Amino acid sequence: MPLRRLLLLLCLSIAGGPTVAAPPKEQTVTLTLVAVPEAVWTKQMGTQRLPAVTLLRVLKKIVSDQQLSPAVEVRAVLKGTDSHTETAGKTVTFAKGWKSPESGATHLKPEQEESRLVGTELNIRAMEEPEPNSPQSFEVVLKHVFAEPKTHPVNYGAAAVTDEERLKLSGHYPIFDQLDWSGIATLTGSTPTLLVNTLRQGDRGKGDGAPATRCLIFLQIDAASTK
Amino acid sequence: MKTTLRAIFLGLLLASPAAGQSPSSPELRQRIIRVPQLDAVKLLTTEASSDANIVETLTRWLADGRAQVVSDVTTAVNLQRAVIVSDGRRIWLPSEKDQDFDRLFLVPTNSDEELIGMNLTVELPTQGDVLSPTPTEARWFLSHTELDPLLVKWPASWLEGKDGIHGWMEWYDTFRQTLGTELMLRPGTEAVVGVFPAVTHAWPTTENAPPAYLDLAVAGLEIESPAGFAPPKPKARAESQGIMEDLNDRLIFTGILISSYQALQTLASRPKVPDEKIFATLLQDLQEGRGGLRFCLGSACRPGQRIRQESGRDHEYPTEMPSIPSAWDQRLVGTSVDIDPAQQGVLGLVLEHHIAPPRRQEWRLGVNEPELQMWEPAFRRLKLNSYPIVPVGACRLIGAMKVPSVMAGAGLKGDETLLVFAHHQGPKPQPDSLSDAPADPFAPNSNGAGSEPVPDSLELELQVFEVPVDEAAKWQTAPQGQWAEPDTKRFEAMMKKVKMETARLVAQGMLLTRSEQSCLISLEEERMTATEFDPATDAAPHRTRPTALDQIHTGTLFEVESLVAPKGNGVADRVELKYEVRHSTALPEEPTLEMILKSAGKDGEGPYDEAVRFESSWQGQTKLKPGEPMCLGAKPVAGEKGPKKVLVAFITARVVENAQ
Repeated sequence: MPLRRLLLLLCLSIAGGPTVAAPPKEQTVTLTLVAVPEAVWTKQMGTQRLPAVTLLRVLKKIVSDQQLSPAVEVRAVLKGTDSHTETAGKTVTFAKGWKSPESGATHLKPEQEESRLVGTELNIRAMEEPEPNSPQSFEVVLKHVFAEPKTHPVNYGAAAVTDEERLKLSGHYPIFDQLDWSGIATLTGSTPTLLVNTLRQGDRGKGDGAPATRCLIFLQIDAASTK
Repeated sequence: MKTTLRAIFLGLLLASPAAGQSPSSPELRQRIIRVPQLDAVKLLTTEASSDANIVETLTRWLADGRAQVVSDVTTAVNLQRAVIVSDGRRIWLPSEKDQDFDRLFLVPTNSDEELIGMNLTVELPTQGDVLSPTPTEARWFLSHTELDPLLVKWPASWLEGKDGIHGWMEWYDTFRQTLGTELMLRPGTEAVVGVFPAVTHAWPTTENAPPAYLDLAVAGLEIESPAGFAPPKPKARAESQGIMEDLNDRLIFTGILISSYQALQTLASRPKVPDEKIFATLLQDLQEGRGGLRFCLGSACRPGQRIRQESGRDHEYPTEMPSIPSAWDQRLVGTSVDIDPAQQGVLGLVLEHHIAPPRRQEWRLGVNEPELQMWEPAFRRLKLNSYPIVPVGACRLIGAMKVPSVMAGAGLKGDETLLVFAHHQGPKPQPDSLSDAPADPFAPNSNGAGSEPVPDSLELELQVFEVPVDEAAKWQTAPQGQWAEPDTKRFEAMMKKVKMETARLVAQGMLLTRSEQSCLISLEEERMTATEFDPATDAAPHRTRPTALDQIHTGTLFEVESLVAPKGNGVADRVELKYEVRHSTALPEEPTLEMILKSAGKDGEGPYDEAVRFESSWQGQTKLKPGEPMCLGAKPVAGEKGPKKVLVAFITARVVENAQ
């Protein structure tokens, strides 16, 4: 083949001329959720603002030193720009509504049910193919339920007089402690990005003793997966 | 050869990575900081109330314990899409209930999820891919709830059978603070986004509630600059360009309750005493324990962008088959504002404030059976719909209304007047580089400088007096539609009678608006009246229950439509307007259960006795000379048996020049 034609083909192939499609690149992203008591956060952090990589390191050390609940980590393996949902936890089912008991009966039977994951659900999609050393944007929808739900009674026996009778004639609805985040996160290399940092007031004003906590969620691309 | 090299160069160029790498994710932080109410009002409405000063003061107060953080969220943000953060407890509450009448089982068949916590949605609709250190537009929606849903028990009565069956149906009220607005954020600084009454107890508008607080939402944007890039510091840049540091306008609305006597003197002192001085005096009185601060709320805004803000308790009440509630409506018992801030300080304003918790209306459903009853709430609220002109840097009294005596009781004193002020703060208009250049219509805070002059305002006042019935003839007026001579002398005579206690001021209202707009102010109790009933049965001839309800507004209403604009130079010959005035002297008298059973007739079709309303009203169209009161005439009080008094209404219109 003449040299001139060969060089032209070489340039076209570099510039994206007719080529065979490459398989989508795989990469692993890790979501890390850390919670520390607000009193500890205030004491250690004060008003300083640290880069996410340093912040995550400091928080992990606090968790380790003070023997707090370990950070929650969820890993998702992404292929190209395909959407992926990763879940970790246990599904609970509860009644949204009940049928009226038959004549002579008082026990409720569920009519409508709903499920919720107690744990983490991460739906994530890379918006472009990864390129080395280039920032990359990800669509993220995150739902995290912290613990098994508490419940509260909902009375249906309106004519019941005493509190005890009214409680007996009650269904129970759940209360979930939940943090959701959705948006676009920009990640560069394997540097963690802070998605959200939130003050959670516990059972504020109820006197139940649940203290305030500081919860932070980070997202990063695993270094090994980008090589 | 040259062609070959050109091809190689082109190929390499096309294959090179995209230019303009973006910095790492910018972060946005919102804190809600709780501050004692009076401290917050003073901080927000003084001259030195820039965002920087406010944030600096809040930081000091947080350090010394005078303020506390109730919410603190930092989130990554991106230009391409809105970010939504939702954090708190999700509690499921019944939304529908089945009805098993015989056992009075009211079983929840469906439910909805309510968030107790924070929901924040922020969009940065800036063009481009990269967030730069220059000010950025942000669309803001926040919803914050702190209190758990409140269980409310409603009487439920099924009237069939010998004994009937009675119980208590449980339903839930919720609480919230919400704000939707649009503002500018400068990276590296914080701005006040919104100001809300704190919702910390069961009835947010109770006069004797625990010490009141305001919640200030403060937000800031941080960008991590790429290595080696140092953005200019905002202050230095502002100084070099001669631009005020604040980027946004801020509108704050305050309601202060004072004695009606003091209100009469205060209104009479205007315009000699400017509104700013009146407000400062009232604030001083509040700090010394006189009067009551009923509400304060507001937000950052940009001209032309709509703001909607609410704070209070969502009170659910039954609407259908209310003796066993089967359908519900909801009303915010608190304070809400809806504003269209146009250019030149003209505000399209809808403000509602519940001045006291709702009163409870009760209906008996069975003779000698006190447990069989039905309840409905009677909301007691101020409504202010107007187009006040509040220039940047100004404080204006935009409305006032005396609390009607019929509304007193159950937590509300009579003989007091609520004054509503608006403060409009913001950057002064930027000077043009050419003195005769037209204003940039696309500048966010131009306030129209250099374009059309600020229009004049119209101030409308209402007084209603009570005089003995034998004086009615003295206070009649010319037939409707005809030219009405000024009534200055008759007004002065009436004021003398008030001083001598031979007449009584029963209603007083004031509105600030723009001409050629409709406006109204009312302080009323929204009461229900039953209009249809289930007929009594042979088995239970002593029982009946309402099946349809209507609403009766009881209090004072002042509504005006200004038809002709005054001249722009502040001097107008006449102000032509349509008006409606209504004032109640007593709560409506509902027919008793016995009267209903009697008027039902053999077939139970009625017609039923209706509620008796005690009120006087005036409607019409007139022209009046600015600054001179006009008498609308004397009206007997409808509903009174053998009237002993009449009511006489006066209205006054003034044209207020607005500074350029």
